[in-house]
Amino acid sequence: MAPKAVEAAAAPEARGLCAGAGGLSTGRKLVPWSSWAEWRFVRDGLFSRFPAAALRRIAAWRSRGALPIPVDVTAAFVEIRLRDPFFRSGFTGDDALESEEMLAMLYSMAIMRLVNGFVENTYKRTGRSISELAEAVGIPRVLVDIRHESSHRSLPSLRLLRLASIKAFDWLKCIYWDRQTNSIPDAEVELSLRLHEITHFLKGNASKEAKSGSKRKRSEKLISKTTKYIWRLYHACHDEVVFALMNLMQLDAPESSESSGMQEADCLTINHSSDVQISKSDMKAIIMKLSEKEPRLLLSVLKSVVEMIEAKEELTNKGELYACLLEPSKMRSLCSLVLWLVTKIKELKVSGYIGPVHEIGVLSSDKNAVPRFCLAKLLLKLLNLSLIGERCIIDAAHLLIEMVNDNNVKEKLRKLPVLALESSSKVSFHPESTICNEEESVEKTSETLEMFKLHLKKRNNACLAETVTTEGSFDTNMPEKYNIWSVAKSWTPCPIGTIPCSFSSCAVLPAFDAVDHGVEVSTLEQHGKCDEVDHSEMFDSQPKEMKDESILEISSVSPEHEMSDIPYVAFPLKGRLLVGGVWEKVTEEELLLIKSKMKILL
Amino acid sequence: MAGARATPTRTPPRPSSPAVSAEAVVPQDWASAVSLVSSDPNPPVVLVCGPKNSGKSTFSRVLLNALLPRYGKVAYLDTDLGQPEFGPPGCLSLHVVDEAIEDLLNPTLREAERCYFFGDVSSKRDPEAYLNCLFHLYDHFVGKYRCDENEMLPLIVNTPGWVKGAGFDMLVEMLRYICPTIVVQIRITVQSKNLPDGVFWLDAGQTGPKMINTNAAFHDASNRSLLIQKDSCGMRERQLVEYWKQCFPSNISVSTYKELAYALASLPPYQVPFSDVTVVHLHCEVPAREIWRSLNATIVGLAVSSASDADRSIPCVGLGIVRGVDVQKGLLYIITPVPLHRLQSVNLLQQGLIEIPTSLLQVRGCVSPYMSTNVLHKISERDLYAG
Repeated sequence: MAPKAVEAAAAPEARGLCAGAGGLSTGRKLVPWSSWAEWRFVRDGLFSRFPAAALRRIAAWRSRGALPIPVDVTAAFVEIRLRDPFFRSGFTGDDALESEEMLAMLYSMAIMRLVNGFVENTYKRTGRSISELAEAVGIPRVLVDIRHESSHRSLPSLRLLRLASIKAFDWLKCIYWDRQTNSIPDAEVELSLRLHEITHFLKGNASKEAKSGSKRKRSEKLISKTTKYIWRLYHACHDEVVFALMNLMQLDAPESSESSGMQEADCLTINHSSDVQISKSDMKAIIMKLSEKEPRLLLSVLKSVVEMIEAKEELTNKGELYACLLEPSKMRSLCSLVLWLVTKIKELKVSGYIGPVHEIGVLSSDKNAVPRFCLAKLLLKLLNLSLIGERCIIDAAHLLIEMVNDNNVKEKLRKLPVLALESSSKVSFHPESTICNEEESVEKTSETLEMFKLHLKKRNNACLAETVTTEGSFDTNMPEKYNIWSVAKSWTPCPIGTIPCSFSSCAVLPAFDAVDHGVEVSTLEQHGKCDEVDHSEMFDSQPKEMKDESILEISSVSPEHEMSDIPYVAFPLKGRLLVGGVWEKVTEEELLLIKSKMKILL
Repeated sequence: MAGARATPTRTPPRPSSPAVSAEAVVPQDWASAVSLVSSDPNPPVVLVCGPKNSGKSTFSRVLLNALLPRYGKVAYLDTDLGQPEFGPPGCLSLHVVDEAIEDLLNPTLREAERCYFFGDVSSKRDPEAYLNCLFHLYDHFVGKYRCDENEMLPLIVNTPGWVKGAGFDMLVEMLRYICPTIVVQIRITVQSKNLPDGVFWLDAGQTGPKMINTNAAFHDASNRSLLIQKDSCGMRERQLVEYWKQCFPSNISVSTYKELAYALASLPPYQVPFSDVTVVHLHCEVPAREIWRSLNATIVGLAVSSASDADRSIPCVGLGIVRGVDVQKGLLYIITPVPLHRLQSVNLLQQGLIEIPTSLLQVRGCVSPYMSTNVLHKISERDLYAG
């Protein structure tokens, strides 16, 4: 666990910038997984009783290349065991392999690949014997002997091979899976640690202005060092950092003590790891400090906030009891965060840190450039929130409107009913003061904004054509029949393997399982009888590999994505299983497994 | 220069014209072999074979330059997947060249007349598919450039240096199918690594083509062939990088990896709906629901499939990087130098095992999620006993 903030403050330089196992390594390596969450999903699957999903994922990894040998070999062992009646304990299926000879060959080959995979490179380099090297690496001797015996002598007995496979499996778990687990950086813990450091220094600076110059310089140096580390963290695990930042900002909202929603569950670690809380104003100061270097951080945070509001709205719309209990204060604090962020973006724009541009050029490495269409889309996003009546959101929308239109669009907007609002210039300069305005004005404004919303939708093309709809990628109507390929419009730079978020221009990792595209519908159609699916709910308690993943993706599914271009699936629940409240896809193989289990129970 | 191919001289010459350079660097027995080939009364079909690093590609380049003045155009069949001459790695292609090769030391990119994406840097994963593609290319050449007696083109077939085991078997199949008029065999002094002497692919009694044996160009003091070990991985990476540089007009400077990586990350990609393309994995099976995960941030062949194509040999117009997948919108985003009008016919994406160069994925501030920190990859003694 992270040291307490006091400690952190006491000796931050002593620990240097690598806080134990959680520290960030400098080297990078190509891996087939897109996040550590995906890696954990596979790990948990492989060591569970239902490894099918994990094995499928490894098949996908294999096709990408750069698959680490331990992963490859572990998967091989799991797959062989699935076909060995000895490990299938009781139930038989079509794919069980009855031939002992064949099983022995499979096991021998897997063991051979394990030993060779771990020592081959060094063997070639040093010329030392395989058994010597294997001992140095710590490979159990029995595996080395089996490798030798199966390649040069007669095939070892199946009994021995099964025992050896258990040994090999455990060894792989310890040498690879456990050790890798321990060296994954925990972005949240790391971040909160650094942030506490910065707060400490900031406070020190503020309180002791009269401090001797040298000391102040020293702490400034430390701040910049820590800031740099946070930047590395931000680039390494972008989403986690933004999420953690946001959580930290919310934690100390005055209402946080009474809040106990889903939010809390997500940020447990931070809650308990920090005794001294960072105040909201400190947090804001820190975010400003961070965004000095990359102003688009603000957009990232804004994106997460808006998505969080959306997620909550969705829950409310579903009328879930639990969501209704969700304190309005929490929502309000989120909304005020939106306003604050937009205000800051605006400030940055005024001071020239952010330069709105029409399209980001291919070679522009200008981190400050924010395409206009992003702001326009952000505006649309805000206007689409159903709690548009919220004062802060309205103000934020105002600011955005100002930023978006600085040419003729602005003039067009002036003719809209929005004008009925108080002068927007006032809002932009004194955002806080407007918050305390009377209720009725809020209602009035929400009405007019509602109208504006309608208007905007109707006149989308006419009104914001220059900024919003010039892009084709977000249009639902397909390109013409004969041009199936087209250049993506309104593209913002993002690393290869990610796509730009549709409204904030931040890079996001695609949510691969969000929508089914009917690719596998046909394979599922032959089975998945309704009664089977109904009954199978009984097995909810079984560990299911998919859970991890579904949690991951909740935040990225936004409600109002238009689905018109997606093939219509006639039986949406076919081939699905209610697991832990989520409809998971299950394959025939899994269903059969469950079915066979049921027989045992009966 | 790192990665320079086995060349007749150690110092890369800067020739004023290719002809001069060829004369300047080509050793005597190469020159006589080349003149023997080019003096053939009919446009020859030349197959160049020999072990790894013996100088097959360099010889082919010299030969191509020598044939050009007489015929104006020379066809070139690129069969070396790992170190192709004119295409990106992993491709089998037929080229019709009408311009002399200026750089005799390095491969240069040129547009192919016809191309198949094999999807690996060695033919060993699927010899059948490899030969199949090759035969299709040769048939195409014969159909187009050998039928009209007045407009026949010469053909140079450069072969991979895999001359033992399955590689030898494939070479034999290739020779039997193509029936070249001239076979140039480059031999090195380590006899055990050479191909068998003579018409090794024919049964006894059959008459073969003209055989020309020549030695590797380099020799050390004791007259042994000097083979230059190439960093083939690095070369492939450079070739791929060069390939994607073509996405940018020449007036944009993308000379460094960093610049190129930034440029690729910001370049608006092409988009294509899932529903309009089929995805094929050439060398492994991927479950249907994992397809997009498998494709994201990898290299694919952009192929044009039509009903008449045989199953595995579908011509390809170029390579693309799947730079992003939007599952919600059902769109694939692809970066490729292939022009938009040629892309319109692409309806098949072939994923092979050509790995994307990591230099394109990691630039400060723009690092792909697939470039991870804290990856455990080596188990050293230190790690084991430190704990």
